[in-house]
Amino acid sequence: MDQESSSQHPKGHQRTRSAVKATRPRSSTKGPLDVGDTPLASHLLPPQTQQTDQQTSSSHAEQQHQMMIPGGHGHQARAPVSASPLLPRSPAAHSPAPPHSRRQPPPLSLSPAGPSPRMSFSPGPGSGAASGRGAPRPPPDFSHLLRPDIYHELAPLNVPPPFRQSAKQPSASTPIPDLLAGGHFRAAAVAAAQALTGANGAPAPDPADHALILSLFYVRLACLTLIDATALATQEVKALEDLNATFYVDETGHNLIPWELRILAVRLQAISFADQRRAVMSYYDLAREARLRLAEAAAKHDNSEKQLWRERLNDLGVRVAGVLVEMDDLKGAVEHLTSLKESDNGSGKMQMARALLWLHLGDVDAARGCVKPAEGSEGPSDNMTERIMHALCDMADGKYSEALNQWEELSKVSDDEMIGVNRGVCLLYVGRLQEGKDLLEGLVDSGRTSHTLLFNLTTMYELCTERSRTLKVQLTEKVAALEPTSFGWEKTNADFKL
Amino acid sequence: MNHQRFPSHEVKEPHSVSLKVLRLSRPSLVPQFPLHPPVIPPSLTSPIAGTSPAALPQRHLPPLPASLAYSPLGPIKKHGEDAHEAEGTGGERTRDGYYNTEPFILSPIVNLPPSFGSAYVGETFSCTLCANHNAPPIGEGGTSVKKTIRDVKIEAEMQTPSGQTTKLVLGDTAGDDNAGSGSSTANADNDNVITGSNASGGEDSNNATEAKTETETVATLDLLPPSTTLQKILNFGLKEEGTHVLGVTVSYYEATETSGRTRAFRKMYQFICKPSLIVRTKAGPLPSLPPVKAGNGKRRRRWVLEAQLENCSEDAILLEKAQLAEVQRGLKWRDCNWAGIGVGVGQGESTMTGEGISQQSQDQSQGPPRRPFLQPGESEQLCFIIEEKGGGEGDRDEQGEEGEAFEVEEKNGRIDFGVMALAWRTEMGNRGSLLTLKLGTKHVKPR
Repeated sequence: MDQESSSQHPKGHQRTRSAVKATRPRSSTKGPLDVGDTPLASHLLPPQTQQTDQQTSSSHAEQQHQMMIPGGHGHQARAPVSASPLLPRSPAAHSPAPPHSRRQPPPLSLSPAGPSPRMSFSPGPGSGAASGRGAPRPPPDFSHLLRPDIYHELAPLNVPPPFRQSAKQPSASTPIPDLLAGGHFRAAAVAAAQALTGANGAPAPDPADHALILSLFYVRLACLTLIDATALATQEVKALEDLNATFYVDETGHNLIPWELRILAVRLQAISFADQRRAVMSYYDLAREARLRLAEAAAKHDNSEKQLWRERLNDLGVRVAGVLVEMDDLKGAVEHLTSLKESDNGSGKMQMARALLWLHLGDVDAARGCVKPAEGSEGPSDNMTERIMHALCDMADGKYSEALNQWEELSKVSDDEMIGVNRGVCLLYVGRLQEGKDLLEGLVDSGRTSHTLLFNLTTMYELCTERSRTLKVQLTEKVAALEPTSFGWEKTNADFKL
Repeated sequence: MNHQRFPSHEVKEPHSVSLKVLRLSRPSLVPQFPLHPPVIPPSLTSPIAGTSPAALPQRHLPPLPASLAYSPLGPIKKHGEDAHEAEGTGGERTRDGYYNTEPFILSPIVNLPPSFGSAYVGETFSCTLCANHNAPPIGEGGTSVKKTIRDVKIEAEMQTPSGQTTKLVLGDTAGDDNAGSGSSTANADNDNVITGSNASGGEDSNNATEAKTETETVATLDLLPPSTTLQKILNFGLKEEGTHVLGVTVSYYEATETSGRTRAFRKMYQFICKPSLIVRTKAGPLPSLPPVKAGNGKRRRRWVLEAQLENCSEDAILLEKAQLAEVQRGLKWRDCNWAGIGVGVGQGESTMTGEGISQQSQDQSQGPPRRPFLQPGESEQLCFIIEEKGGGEGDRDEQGEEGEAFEVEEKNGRIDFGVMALAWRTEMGNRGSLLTLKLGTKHVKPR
């Protein structure tokens, strides 16, 4: 392409360079319309490009038209548009018909009038809504999420044998919802990838069925983060590319990507770009959209819809604070969290979040101040949030005996796992390792298996014997024998420090 | 020290008692990344049915329980009871007795310290020592000789970079308050050991630990049954920069049915203590004040003492206290920093402490406190005004009321103000504190 252009335009050196630029892999701004890395991607490009161009730059419609005519070298005319991803790969346009050609719109469909017959191919929710408004558009083609090469192999090597060999392992045919409910997240991640790529015998989803594809994709990524494979998830999320690309927006301006996937993708993309600020920005983008929807719902007097968006907005606010914590911008996080409203009164969740942030930052007095009961309210002993915070603050003050007393009091009125674990940790700090270990073991016996609990218990094992490995292996057997639940059944070696 | 190395050729048989240690830094809050539960289209369960119209209920559901730091509920729902119902009703189910902060990143459950971390001057080093009687696994090696372990003794000592070795008090509780050494904020003012400042003089370490020789430095246990542990905790105020060596000696009497012997071993743990706060100070004269009483005649000299604190650690630091202490009798000082603003004139450390506390509660009602928060590499500028006491009114001196202007003492053309006492907190409230050397000025002439 490079040489070809220069031979045709001997003076156009600069232009050529800009075109070359576009072929470089770009990082953050890469969208589904950009050049893929594999030949397969280039097959998929024409229809996508077509429809987006229609939206973004209708003035180029003629050029597109020209382009779609077999043999037409539209790229010459479009060379100044250096961002055009199709340009460097234009030969691909001549390649054999793409596999999904049946859904490929004929060039005629670019004409903006009249309902398109193509709608019948994709009765997905988004398209359905779109046709109702009479805005014709080719159904988005999600084949880029169906490529087998974007999904990594999940080797069960980091899973302790008692889990791998357990009779509780689900069969390959278990439906994904059941896998999720049973806490078989590794199996669910595998099943989701298989369903997307059609690897388990069943046909791959229709590339236009975005609801199904995106839902499976979310299951895949979510499960990866749950099985300590977030690194893989940050790789695989790249397949989505730019979530705000017009490609993902339907005629009504709504994004086709499920909300939960957009939220998760923000975090994963920030990790993969090693840029947390990006996450703050993206959450604010989402918040702007949430406000818009909230206003729409208010205009429609749709109360449940209003509630939904209000909760999503609150959720985003708290997540922004979380990113700031991850960025170590603790002061910023404090400011931000202070500015947020208490979402539902009485739960004390926001109070506790603020207090924990102060504690994390090291200001114990401020943490205590956050959970002070308001004037004229109940006595302190009734407020669990305050009691929990006081116990934590005592630990932060190095008063472990006092803290232990409080955890013991609390454990009489609540069987919250947190209270049990914190009490066990306190026991170690007051020289009662044996009791702490017994307490945590008791929690495992009662069916608790959080990462924190297992981590603390195995740490105690390491302290109390030379042969901690034996105890750890016994613990894996014990946990593997527990009934699978949605809290997650299968654990990794790392959970047991093995 | 008094314990010799035991000759290694004496016994080749492995010890029946093992020693394990863990540095007890503050436990940390466990982060969590709550996930929204997936909305699964019905077509996923029965692919033949095809995709459904957009009738999926849009509700804000509680996060996936597995994505939280700990499980929300007590009796855990059995798999297969009704997965969908469990998801849907999760919120109501858990409202009672469930105190997580999701979707916030920090949860109230804590983790034990995952690693040693960094040790900094001014902090208290807490560490637990565990002597374990490792009963041999049944049927291993065929040596089914029953052993009784008696008279277990643990002794620990810390060798500091200055070459001093300190016997450590072995207690039951971690924490700064019961540290066998005086680095906690409570008694920092009475310490005279300084490091980590520009004035790191070669003052002989006079560790408070030594003063407490009456406390137990040897932990003993008569009988250590198999698979049990003798756990002790030591607390040591880190005051010197450089390599510290913690030496732990465990001795015990191992008795079989036919014989018995005393055995012992010693383990060394080395770590490096780094400075976390660099203090640079500068003093200069200010225009003097007229005498308090017109007839008294003497103008009162004033100085400004500036200090720059730089966080040279790898963790963020929250400054909690910056005061002058051991101030010369004829002088009083005023705090021009976060704690002093809006509180009026501080008179001395005892009054300041009280005001500092009241200021904190004010802060909470007015929003975020103004305590300086220093990220690694950041610095904070402090300022104190020091003036001669005029005698008479208002000069409430902690040493007594006879405050008729003490003559300010000059040595070699230099006036010593006192020392600066700093206290800070790091993540999860971990404390640090230090005192500088004597600070003073050569600008002794009144202006």
